[in-house]
Amino acid sequence: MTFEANKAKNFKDFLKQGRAFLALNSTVEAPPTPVTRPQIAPAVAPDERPLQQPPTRMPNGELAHYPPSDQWDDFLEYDAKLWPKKVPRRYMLVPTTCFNCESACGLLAYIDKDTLKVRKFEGNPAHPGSRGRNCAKGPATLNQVYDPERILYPMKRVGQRGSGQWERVSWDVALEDIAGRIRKALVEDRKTEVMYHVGRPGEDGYMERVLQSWGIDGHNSHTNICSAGGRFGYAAWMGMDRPSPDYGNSRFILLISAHLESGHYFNPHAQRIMEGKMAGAKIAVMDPRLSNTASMADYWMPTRPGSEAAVLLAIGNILIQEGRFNQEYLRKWVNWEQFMQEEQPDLPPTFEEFVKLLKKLYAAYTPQFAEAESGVAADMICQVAREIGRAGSAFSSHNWRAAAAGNLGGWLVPRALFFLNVLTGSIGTEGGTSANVWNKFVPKPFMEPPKQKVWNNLSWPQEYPLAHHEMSFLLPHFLKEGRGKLAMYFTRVYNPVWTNPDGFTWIEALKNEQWVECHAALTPTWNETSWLADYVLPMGHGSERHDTHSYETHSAQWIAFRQPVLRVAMEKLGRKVEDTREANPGEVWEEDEFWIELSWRIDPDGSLGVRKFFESPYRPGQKISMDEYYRYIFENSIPGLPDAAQGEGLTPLEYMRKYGAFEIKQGIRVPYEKQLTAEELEGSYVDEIGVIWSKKPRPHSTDITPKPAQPVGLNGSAIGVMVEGVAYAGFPTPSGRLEFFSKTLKEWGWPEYSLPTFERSHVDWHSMDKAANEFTLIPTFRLPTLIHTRSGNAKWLNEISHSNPVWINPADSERMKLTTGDLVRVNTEIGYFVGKLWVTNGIAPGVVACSHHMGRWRLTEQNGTDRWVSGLVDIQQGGESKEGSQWKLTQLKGVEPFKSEDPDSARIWWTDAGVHQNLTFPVHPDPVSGAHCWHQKVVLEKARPSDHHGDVYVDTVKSHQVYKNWLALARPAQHPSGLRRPLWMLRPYKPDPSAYIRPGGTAPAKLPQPDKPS
Amino acid sequence: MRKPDYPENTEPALISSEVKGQISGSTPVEQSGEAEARSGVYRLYSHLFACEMELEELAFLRQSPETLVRVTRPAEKDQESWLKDLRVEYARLFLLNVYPFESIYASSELMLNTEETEQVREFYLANGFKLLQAKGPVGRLLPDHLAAELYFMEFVAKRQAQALSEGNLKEAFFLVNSQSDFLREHLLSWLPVFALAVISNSREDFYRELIGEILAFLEADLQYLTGLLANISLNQELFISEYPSHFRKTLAPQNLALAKEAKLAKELVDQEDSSELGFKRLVRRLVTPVESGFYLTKEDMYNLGRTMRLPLGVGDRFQMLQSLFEAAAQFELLPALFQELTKFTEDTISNLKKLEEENSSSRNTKYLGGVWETRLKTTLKLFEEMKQALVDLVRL
Repeated sequence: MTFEANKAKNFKDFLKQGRAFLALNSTVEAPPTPVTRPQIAPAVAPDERPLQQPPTRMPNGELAHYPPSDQWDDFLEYDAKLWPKKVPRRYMLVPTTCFNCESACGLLAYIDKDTLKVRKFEGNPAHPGSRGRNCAKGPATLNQVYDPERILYPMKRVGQRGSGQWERVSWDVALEDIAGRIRKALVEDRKTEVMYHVGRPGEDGYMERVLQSWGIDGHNSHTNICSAGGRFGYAAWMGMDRPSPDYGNSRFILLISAHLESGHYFNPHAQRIMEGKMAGAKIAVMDPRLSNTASMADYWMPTRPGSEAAVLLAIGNILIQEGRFNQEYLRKWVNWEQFMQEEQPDLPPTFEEFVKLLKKLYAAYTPQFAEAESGVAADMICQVAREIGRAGSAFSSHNWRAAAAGNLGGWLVPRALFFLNVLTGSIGTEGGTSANVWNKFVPKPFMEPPKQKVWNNLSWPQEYPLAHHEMSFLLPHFLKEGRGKLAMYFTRVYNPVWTNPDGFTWIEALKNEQWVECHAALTPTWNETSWLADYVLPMGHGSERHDTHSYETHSAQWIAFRQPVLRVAMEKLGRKVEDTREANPGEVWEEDEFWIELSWRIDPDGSLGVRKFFESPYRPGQKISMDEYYRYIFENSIPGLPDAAQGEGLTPLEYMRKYGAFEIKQGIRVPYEKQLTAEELEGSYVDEIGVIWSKKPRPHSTDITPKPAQPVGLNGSAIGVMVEGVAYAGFPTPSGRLEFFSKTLKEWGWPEYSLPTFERSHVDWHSMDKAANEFTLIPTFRLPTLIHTRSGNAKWLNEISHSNPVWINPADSERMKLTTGDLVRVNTEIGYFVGKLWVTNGIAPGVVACSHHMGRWRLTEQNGTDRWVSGLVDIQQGGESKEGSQWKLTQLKGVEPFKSEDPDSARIWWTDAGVHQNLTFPVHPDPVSGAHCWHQKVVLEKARPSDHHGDVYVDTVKSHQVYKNWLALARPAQHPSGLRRPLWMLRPYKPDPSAYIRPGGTAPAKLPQPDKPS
Repeated sequence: MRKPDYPENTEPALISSEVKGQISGSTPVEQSGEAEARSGVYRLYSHLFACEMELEELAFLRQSPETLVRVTRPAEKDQESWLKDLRVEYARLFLLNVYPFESIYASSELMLNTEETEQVREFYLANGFKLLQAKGPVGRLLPDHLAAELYFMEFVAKRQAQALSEGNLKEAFFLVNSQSDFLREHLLSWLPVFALAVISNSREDFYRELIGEILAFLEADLQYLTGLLANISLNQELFISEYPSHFRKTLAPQNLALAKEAKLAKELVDQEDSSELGFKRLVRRLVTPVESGFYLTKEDMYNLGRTMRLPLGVGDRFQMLQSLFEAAAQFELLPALFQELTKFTEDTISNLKKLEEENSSSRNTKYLGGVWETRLKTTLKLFEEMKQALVDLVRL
């Protein structure tokens, strides 16, 4: 469009106009008064070089995704907080790994070189697992480091346990007391009375070495409230107890979890699941809850809780009946011969007969049957089955907790799931599912202690010979029953009172000074359990400690190095640091150095044989330093690392301090198909089922990743398996193959489960009375931005997630005349909790769900669990006597703003502290896997007038009774070998075989020799 | 820094004279009055662009005999519905199509809050101006919003008036210098292309006329300020030496302008090397005002699509033009599209010429016509080449 120009104007006319406008308008507002220009004091850089303007682009003109690693020691960047001013800051970038879940993703700490403060955490592009990308929890490490509520000094209890009175003590006092107790226990041969109970280890190999150097069987874990069901299902097939899918190359992905948003290794896995999907893979998700993951799936299969195995076996049946399975693979790698010999001696032992039998065995698992059990349409089951058949060897699947952790017989779910991988021959293949140990590498430290010769019955009771692993959540019941006591009990990044089922029984046990003589909580923050400790010892967060670790995030082996970033920075800037406490806030320490110091004090003169493991390999007789410990590992135990470091002119330790991670190998495929060489086979012996044994010493390996292994027997050790006349490496199972038929299960008391099968769960829908408002409660799901109890001190994360309503389907809520926001009493076998309803179609009818993440509590206004997350509660025990079994927790108030050094604490706007539900769950040990079966049968009722959101009531007499009922399901070890547990199976901190002999059991004719480290 | 070494009694005076047909007062007091009046002009324009029109402003524009903007109420409308129309027009123009931010027009990044914005902010700070302290809607704007930049001019003019009335001639000189620098480096560097886009997108006469008038005033004001500076009978070197360091880093605006152009040229070269190839590169070029010489609004592109009966959704400008090209290629209408774009460019050039005619003095400065005209003509040539290439392609 064009326009007609104005006539030319005289400047005078403009001025007139201006005066006129001023006359009209001058009183409306005056222009701001001039301000004096703020004086920006130049930051004093230690090296006094002037701050340049940071480049905003790479030399090629593109924006960089990450700072180039050659600038990490001195990186310039504008201060984002001063935006829109452009103020350059000088950083040192030091890598470490995140400690806010199990994935150990890489972080880069941005350390301000002027103030030596960490200003932010971003992704470490050199980390092979996370590749520079993190979830919300990684950057939130900053909150944890600078949390005004954190514990800065060792604290000792004064007054009664749990009374909340503390005094600050020196590390010396704490160390001397604890070391004295441990020394006494060792000298008096009470080697099962020292227990180290860890929630999130976050390290590989270090603690095993410490505890075995003390000669105790003292490791306890959180595994059986988590992955025991998942582990056992996989172990029954292949010995190795966890899957490692190659999602990125997969054509079909089947997930029994909310794996894109939470779950093990969720961030590294989610990246690769999305890559697989972008390359055309389809995703099916089994979950009664429409998780974020299910919402991204091509097939959402909302199975009724506990029916998953039925659906999986129906899929297997379709593959079998329609001939969509890989016959050659089965012929080669499944122990069908053993099955035919043992179970069908009357049939000809041919593969053809086996396939016929297979068709017959699973014919009953029709899609219609599965639909009736699960509620998932038969059509969808058929579609998924055919997709899986088409994907063939590029079918990947994953189950860790979810159904496996929820149900009685939950381990049958991964057993049935992995059956599909077996049928499609997709094990260890490109796009298939590997075993974790193939994609993991634990490097050997400089000196390995001998295996302990004791067996801890408090962790490994006889009722559960196949448990995967320690029966940790039964500990307080065992103590109640008088099965033993603890002279020294460490909890480390572990909060059983809050995390485990039946927390009030834990409180009863931990308060009892006869059962637990001394309890030290190693933790960065207050939690519900540390409140019941005698010592609270502050330990560093993910950026304040040393660890190495390696996880099966994808088809590769890598190792990552967690380090105290400020210490590293100080050392790089030329300051000498004696121990990590100098770099951490207050007197916060790190465990690695703590255990060394403690071990020296347990055995000051070396007479117990403990001290030598904590002496420097480079300076005989001196205490080992962190540099020396890791230097040895990096120089001697990680293939390829010394060369890579040399290529950059660095020592291996310097390389790891600089990059924080190293990739050892990529693309590890079908290692079991590796053929044994003539040299390896020399002098070997093949037994009747094809297992190859050799007396030759095993080749030297610096990888000490725990693997299942046949015990070294008369014929030496198992090195492989003969398949159709060829010697292969095979699988670490008794048969050397994938065990469709598990002789172990048959012999150890569970013959009915020796084949993949389906069993109805303890919360099966058939047993629910709808009219009585009975529901299955799913309490297991994570909120993607929280991490159990560890994120309580991360303000950003709590601002994102701070509520855990009870999910309910509209069909159910309408029937009960309830709506969103209504309070409900959720009654379990032993008590109830009061939650808020959320009506949503995202949950299947007949099921309610509540995340376990909320409901943190503290007992006093100022102290205890972080105020960012916890509600103030009152806990009353047993009426007048205060010693009864009836416990009542009342939430006095939720989260509210508070004054602290951090101004954000006064800005807290959320009020909900959520409700804690685990307290109201009795223990449900699965008799086979030992897993706690989390799902609950509950009765929903409208809250009563006296009820408040967050209230909890429990009777621990009832909970002990439920424990006894479930204990009765177990079948104690009665194996003719006289052993406590199959020797070949995985067991953390595996003891010497001599410790396996059952009391009263007859020892085998010749006890296998210890599996000596070479 | 050197100390001022001229004696007190030789302090400079701003000597009055007729500057190229313009006026300036003979005494500091008179000049103070002029500065005051100029601040009023800036205040008016800043008000009109900061947000939608208010009734008082409309009343002022209609009733004051001094106003220059022609505002005639359409016969069929009452005051209220007319005001509403103007407010709707403001939103359509400045919130949806012709975004009034320097960064959009002066940089190749095509984003808000670029380095240009930052330079404006720094300029403000150096002159003791904090936009956040401004009352009213201006205080909430980004610093390179047209209204903010005009408001800054008002602020400095006002300080100049004050300095003159207090007899602080040195301070006044610095402030005059700042104003002329700011006009050169900022306001006038982007206002022409912005004005052309406003002109071609206006449905009401009001904003079309207003932007023409503002441009004319800025031109005249720059002339006026230059005149003031030229008439200072003083060793400028001395003055420069005393120039408060916090005012400006350098006193050579020409150098700054040159540096700015050099930077732009480099950015454009960098873009040539970028990964965008073929017609995407062409599209990028056409939506980038510093390259094409015009600003294609979403509505312009939408209208182009309508004219050619091609389907076109509304997206970001790059995507819209890309879709337009794709659709045109699909229907074998590329020659026609180039023809339409040629027409658009020619119209823009003709509007530019008319703007220039409005103020004859503007031919003397390259800030208005020169740069933009060259860019537009280069674009015209590009279209000719493209059309020829298409003909050659068909022949093959």
